[in-house]
This record gives sequence, C-alpha cells and structure tokens, in this order.
Amino acid sequence: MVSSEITPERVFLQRRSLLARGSSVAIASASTALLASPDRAQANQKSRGLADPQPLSARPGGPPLVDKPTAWEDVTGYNNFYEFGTDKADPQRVAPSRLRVSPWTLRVDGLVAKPLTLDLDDLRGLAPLEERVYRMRCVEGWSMVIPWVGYPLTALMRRVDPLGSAKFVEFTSLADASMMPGLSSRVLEWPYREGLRMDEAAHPLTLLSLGLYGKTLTAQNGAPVRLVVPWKYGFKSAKSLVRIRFVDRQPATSWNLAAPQEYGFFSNVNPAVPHRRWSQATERRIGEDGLFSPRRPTLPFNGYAEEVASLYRGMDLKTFF
Amino acid sequence: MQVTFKPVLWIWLAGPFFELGVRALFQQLGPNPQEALLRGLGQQTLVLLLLVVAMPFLARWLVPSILVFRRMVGLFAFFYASIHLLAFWVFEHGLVLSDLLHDALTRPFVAVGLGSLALLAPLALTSNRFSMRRLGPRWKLLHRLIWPALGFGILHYALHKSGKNDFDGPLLAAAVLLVVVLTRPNRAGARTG
Repeated sequence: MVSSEITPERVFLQRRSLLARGSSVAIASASTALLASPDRAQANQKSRGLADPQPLSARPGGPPLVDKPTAWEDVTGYNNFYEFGTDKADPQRVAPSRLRVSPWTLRVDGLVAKPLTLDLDDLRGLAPLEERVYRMRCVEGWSMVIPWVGYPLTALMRRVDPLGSAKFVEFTSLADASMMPGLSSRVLEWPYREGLRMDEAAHPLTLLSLGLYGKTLTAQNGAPVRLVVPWKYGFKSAKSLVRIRFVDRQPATSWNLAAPQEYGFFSNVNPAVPHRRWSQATERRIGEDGLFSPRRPTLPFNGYAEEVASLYRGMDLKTFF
Repeated sequence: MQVTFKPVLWIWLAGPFFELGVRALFQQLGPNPQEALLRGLGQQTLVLLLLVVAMPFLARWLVPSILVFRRMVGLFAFFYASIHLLAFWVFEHGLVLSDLLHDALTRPFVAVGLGSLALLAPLALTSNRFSMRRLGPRWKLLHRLIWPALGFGILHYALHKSGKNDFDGPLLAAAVLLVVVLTRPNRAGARTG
C-alpha cells in the first residue's frame, strides 16, 4: 500500500470529531426523549467525580501507522482491568459508575531533584497533547490499534529532573476498594505495579496518556492518566496512575510477582518467545476481518523494532523476556 | 409424556448451538467472536456432561423416566465437544493438523481437552442398541469412561482459568461431580435399568 492511498490524518481526525459530534447529539436527544435533563445528568456525574469522556484536542504525533484503528466500542468494551473484574466485559460494566477521577492526584517522586504532586489540570497543561495511533498487543494473543491522546513521558521526567542514581521507574495504579470491587480477588498483589528501565521510560514512544479517540480516557481504559508502552505487552501499560517513582533498582511488578516464569520484567512483544501456556507467534486483531480469517503474525517489538530494538542490543531476549 | 417431552428437550439441548450460530451470523458475539464461540461451546459441553452423570441422581429424586433421554443428552455433549474442537482447530490453526498436534504436545491445557474428547468418542460410537447387545456387560464397563472424560474436561476448564486464578467455575463443576459420585444409586451392586 502506498501512503497516498491512506486517508490523510487530518481528514481522518475530522471524520472522527464529526462522528463524536454526531453521537453526542444522538445521546443528548435520546436522553431528552427519556425525559431526563442531560445537563443535570452531566452535573450529577461531575459532582460524583466520575470519568465522563470530554473532548480533548490534540495535534497528530508519533510515527504514522497504516493499521485501521479498532472501533471505539471494542476499545472501550473489551478490557483487562482486574480491579473491576477479570472478565473482559467487567471494566465497561463496572468502572464508569464507580471510578471517581476528580479529585485526582499523581505523585511523582523518588530519586528526583524536584518531586511533584500533580492534579488533573496540572497534568493536562504539562505539555502539548498529541494524538498517537499505536498498536496494542495483549499478552493473551489479541491486538488492537488505539488512537491515544497524551504526551511523551519525558515531558514529565524533565519537570521532576531525575537524579543520576535513578535507574528504573515504578508505576503504581489506584487501589481503592470502595471503587474497585476486583480488589477482593487474589489474582494479583494490589496495588497494581509496573516498571520500566530508565531508557525505556525516556524513549520518545513511551506515552503518558490522558485520552483516547479525541476524548479524555474512559474509566475502563484507565482514567484519568495511564502509561502506554506500545512495544511491550499491554499489561506493562499501567492504568489509573497515582504514583510514579524513580528508583535505583528494578521494581517488583504485579504480574511478575504472580507468575515469574510467565511474565518477565521486560515483556517486550516477541513472537519468538512463547508464553509458558501458549505461542506468541500470531495474534487476533479485534474487530477486523471475518470469523474465519487466519490470525496475523505478531511482529518483533510489536512492529516498533526500528525504534526500540537498540535499547536491548546485546541482551538475550529469551532470558530477559 | 415421553412423546411430548422429547422434542422439547431436543430444542433445549440444541438451543445454545443455534443461539451461537445466529449471534455469529448477525455479529452479536462481541469484540472477540472466536473466543465467545469457543467458550460457549466448551461451557455447554461441560454442562451436558455433568447432566449425563447427574441424571440417575435426578431420576431418583425427581422424575424416574428421564433416564430414557440419557443417550440423547450424552450425544449432544459429544456434539458440542466436537464442534468445540473444530472451532479451536479452525480459529487457532486454520485446520492445519500438524499445528494442532504440536499444540497438543506442548500445552497441557490442549492435551487434556483432546484427551477428554478422545475418551468420549468410543462412548458416542457405541451409544446404539446394536453395540449394547454386542458388547453385553462390557458396554457398562466401557461407558465408565465418562468419569475420566468428565475429570479431564473439568481439568481442561481449570487450566484455562488458571491464568486469572479464577477457579469459581471449575470448582462449581467439581462440586457437582462430587455430589453425584457420592450419591450414586446402587454403588455396590450391579445396576438395573
């Protein structure tokens, strides 16, 4: 496919905002029809601090991608967010009415010169927002293409000024049992924790995401702020972050603690290294193709090898999976 | 009662198959239709296998005459198990036999599922009156394979769920099996009827 055949990104973005406008009109008229005041409903949601996706403008950024974005319904209806239940329909069913994102604080500290506590406005104003269309490959063998809105994590790193002794970054998700019924399950150790090596965190592809499809993040996708690391399996991209800590040794991560032989610290997408219980050579792209289409081959580093392979030069990726 | 009940039971047994088929046709199986089909077929297999072994128990406490439908329920269980395997083979391996075999050799989850189906196959093949006459007392012996087949089926389900440490479903199935085993009628002597 030549790039001229692809819909120009600007047209594509307009199309999406048209769609968004169209759907909000539809929603508004539907709720009027139900004799509910949309204004009051929205005010109620606001006062309860729930994540109600609002328009979030951003300029296009990141490497261009020919893959077709996965439908909004699938991106927001098929999620792993165990804090709200382990079934992939649970997060959409449970999270929107439970997760309060306002007020929210993200603490950024550890081995940094200038530790920070940021609220949502601080986070949104920290750097220009970009739309980045990334592939997302779940360790379970399925994938999506998601138009995220956010900025490179480096923008935040520059603010806090990590010390030379900082070698890793630890990400901690919210763990509040009053909002998250899934915390009663013993699948993982809560709070959910993830980690990156310093050079991975500082890579320009690593995104701090505040939105999705031109709107603020939905609860089930990790509102109000999450990590996105497109060359690693999806579970590395921790959701609903409350703390980012710079540390001098490799942090313990939730999935690695649960099953160290199955989930390594690096967890780079790698078709050559099978999961203990299944192959990682192929994947099922959600919402695309027919029922009987074959699975598609998984690409090394999820197709971002050109950008990130050099980070792992000289490392045995079978040992450091 | 039999005459009117049989078609009703048939529809109830075949219902999930048609439901999945219609939902697949109208793209109502959610974001991952292959997964939804596989899980739906697997779950129905397990439910019917549990029903087959629970029928003597139910007959004793509820309606004795339901035992005449046991073969039909068993054959439907085998049908769902076969479609379940076929769907897995198509969706995961594009019907390439060597890929399926490689999977079976490297993944206990797959091996155990295939093992269960392999144990069910001779039961389905000998479910006719001719085989019953031909095999005589050995028929009953052969059909005790339902127990290991069901055990493998529950283990297969548990291995599938192990990634999420969510054993509610497999434990429920195992509990039903345990109740049925512990309350088997005429456990010591030979069964009649």
